[in-house]
Amino acid sequence: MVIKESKIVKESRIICDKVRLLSDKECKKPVKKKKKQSVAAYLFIAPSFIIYLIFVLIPVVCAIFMSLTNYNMSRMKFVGFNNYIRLLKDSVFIRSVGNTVVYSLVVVGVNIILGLVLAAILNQVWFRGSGFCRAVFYVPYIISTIAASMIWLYMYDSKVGVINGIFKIFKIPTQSWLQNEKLALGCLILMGIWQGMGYCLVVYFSALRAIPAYLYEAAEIDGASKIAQFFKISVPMLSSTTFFLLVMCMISSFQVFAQIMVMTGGGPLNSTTMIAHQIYVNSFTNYSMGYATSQAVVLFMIILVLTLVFFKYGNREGDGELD
Amino acid sequence: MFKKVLAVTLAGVLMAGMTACGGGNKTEPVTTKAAAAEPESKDHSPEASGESHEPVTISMWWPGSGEGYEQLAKGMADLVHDTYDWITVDYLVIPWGDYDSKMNVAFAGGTAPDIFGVGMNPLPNYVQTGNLLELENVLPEDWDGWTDIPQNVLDCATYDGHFYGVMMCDVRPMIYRKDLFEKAGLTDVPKNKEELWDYAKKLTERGEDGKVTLAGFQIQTTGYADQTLFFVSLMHGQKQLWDDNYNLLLLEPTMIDAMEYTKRFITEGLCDYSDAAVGTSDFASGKAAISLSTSCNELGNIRGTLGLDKIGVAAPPTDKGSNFLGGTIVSVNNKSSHMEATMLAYEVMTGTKGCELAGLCAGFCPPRESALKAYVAQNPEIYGVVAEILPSAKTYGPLNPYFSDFRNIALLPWMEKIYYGKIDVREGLENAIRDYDEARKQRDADN
Repeated sequence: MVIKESKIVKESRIICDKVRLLSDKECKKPVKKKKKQSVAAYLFIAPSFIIYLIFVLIPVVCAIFMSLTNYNMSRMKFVGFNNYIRLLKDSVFIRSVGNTVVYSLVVVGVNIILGLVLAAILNQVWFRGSGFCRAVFYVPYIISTIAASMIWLYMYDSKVGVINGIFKIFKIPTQSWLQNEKLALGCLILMGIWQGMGYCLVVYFSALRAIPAYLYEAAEIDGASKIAQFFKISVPMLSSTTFFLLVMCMISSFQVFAQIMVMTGGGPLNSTTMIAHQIYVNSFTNYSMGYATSQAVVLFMIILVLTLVFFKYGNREGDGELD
Repeated sequence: MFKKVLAVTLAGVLMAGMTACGGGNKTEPVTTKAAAAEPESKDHSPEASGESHEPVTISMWWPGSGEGYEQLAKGMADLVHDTYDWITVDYLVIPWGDYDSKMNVAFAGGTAPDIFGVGMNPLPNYVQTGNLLELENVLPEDWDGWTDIPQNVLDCATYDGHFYGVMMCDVRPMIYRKDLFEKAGLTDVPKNKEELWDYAKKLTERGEDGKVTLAGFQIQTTGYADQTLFFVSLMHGQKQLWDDNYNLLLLEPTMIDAMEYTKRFITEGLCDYSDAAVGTSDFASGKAAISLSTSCNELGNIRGTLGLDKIGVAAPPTDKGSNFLGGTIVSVNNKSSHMEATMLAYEVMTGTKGCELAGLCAGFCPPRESALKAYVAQNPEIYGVVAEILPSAKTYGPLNPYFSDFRNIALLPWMEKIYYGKIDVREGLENAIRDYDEARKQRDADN
């Protein structure tokens, strides 16, 4: 099925032409008037820009500078790239990068796939109680992470936890979930999926609602099955939504911290330590602020590169273009 | 035109609003006395008692969390105000997790309180910031604390020859479950390491799946796991964990034996791993029968959970009943802008009544002998033992400026690997020493 130019595209092209005409007229206005207008515009954006400058840009520059020092809350000496060289030799930090990548890939991947599939199911006409289900799935996302972590901590408890309780009923051998090196990361991933899936579901659900019904009607007339409709219409039409979710979920999963602090403290044997946790440990336990800041800069660079890659390759085709 | 004027005006209002918000964002600490007057006073002369003074407000930060610590801070502030009605103490109780970082930020920003608590082990790092008052130069020679406080407690607050404060003590007696001892037919407490092992075996309970449901002896593998190891090393005859030059003594034969002994509890299935992250210990949550790593401060919590009637307290099975000694050192900011008022308040807070409050409100073992009577009177069977073992309680060695490297970089990660059977005891301890030495070099280079 090929749609060369949909109604929406046509209408938006007309609007664009009108805007262009208007801006051409604006260009012909005298220079003085234009300057006055731009002063007003700058004044309008000034508050938000100043906030951005004070709370984002300046701290980022300071952090980059601090990463080149050995700042320990009382002394500061410039050490060049020593902190970055130390990072390469730090086996715990390298482990934390590996753990973070595994955590992010699994959590984001599963959340996006499950969120999409569940949203598609809830979007079906025959499905009763869609609103209730969406609310149920969305609640974990709005619960405080600390509170959720405490709940899961008790659920995973090897002696009184509900998970081992269920295992006991079915005579399945119980586990020390968070004390087992091989299971602990999986337990955190499971919690991450539980907490983040509702967000993906709700965003996908609203995006699915925005897809014009006539596309599905046309496909049905052409004899396309429900699965074919899902893969040939829904999935391509949701590409920008997927791109948005990918970026947002990836950023938040790379910053995972609270559940690590509450549930495992990075253990056992560093099997659940993540980059953000290492930053915390080095800054507020070991007081190696300079070194911790170099880790923060690395985290920033990873997220920046990932976001740029997603921007470059993730959203080549906008919504509404189907093959 | 009107629209543009309006636009510029609105933008200006937004900017002004922002500035106003920024200026009004200062957090005020809790004031104990509503009658607190203007804080600034240049004249602090405390001479004649009848002389009137300008009211002064000083600040105090205390680490800890919970009602007991709030009561302690408030009690101390009230005590100071009752003694000197012109001094008001603003107090703030901050959880341990945030405390050191907040103090460091306050030192860096010049907003540190006049009086504050410091953990014993981080004391050298606080001293290095150059903000702690050397009290031996300020306290009078005949200050009663020099004779009223045991030498081992005074030593805990002495670094590099200078005295930095009175430590409200955290002592670890042997705490055991009387009801479980009775159930297992045990009539006495263990007196040495062999007996401790036998008792642990008899007390350990397992579920249908063979897993430990009740550990005979609590071994902490996370959190303050180093304290359990220290106690076991004392049982094996090790005196300290590092020498006077801060070189680790982990490869001493007694230390290796101690680590092997501790590991055996795990490998032979006599304990389950502690869930330190839940914010409690196995003993406090009823999952262990004997503990040597439960601080006297926790007795208040145990009263509320297990009940003190189920608890027995005895001297630890070590030479002279010694075990780990820690606590919170009450220190003074050498940049206090009201030094005389601060010192007057300090002497009240660390006097007999202040120490009594520390014992009654927050469960600290009072460092002053004159304050022990009130502490013991709460429950002589329990608190009497704590008071008795205080003079023989010990620290890991002289206060170590590399302590955080020792605990976080060297010992705990390798201890964990040893407990999990990933590495042999000797090799693990060798690696711990190597990592400690590297971290020490790095810290020296940074300084």
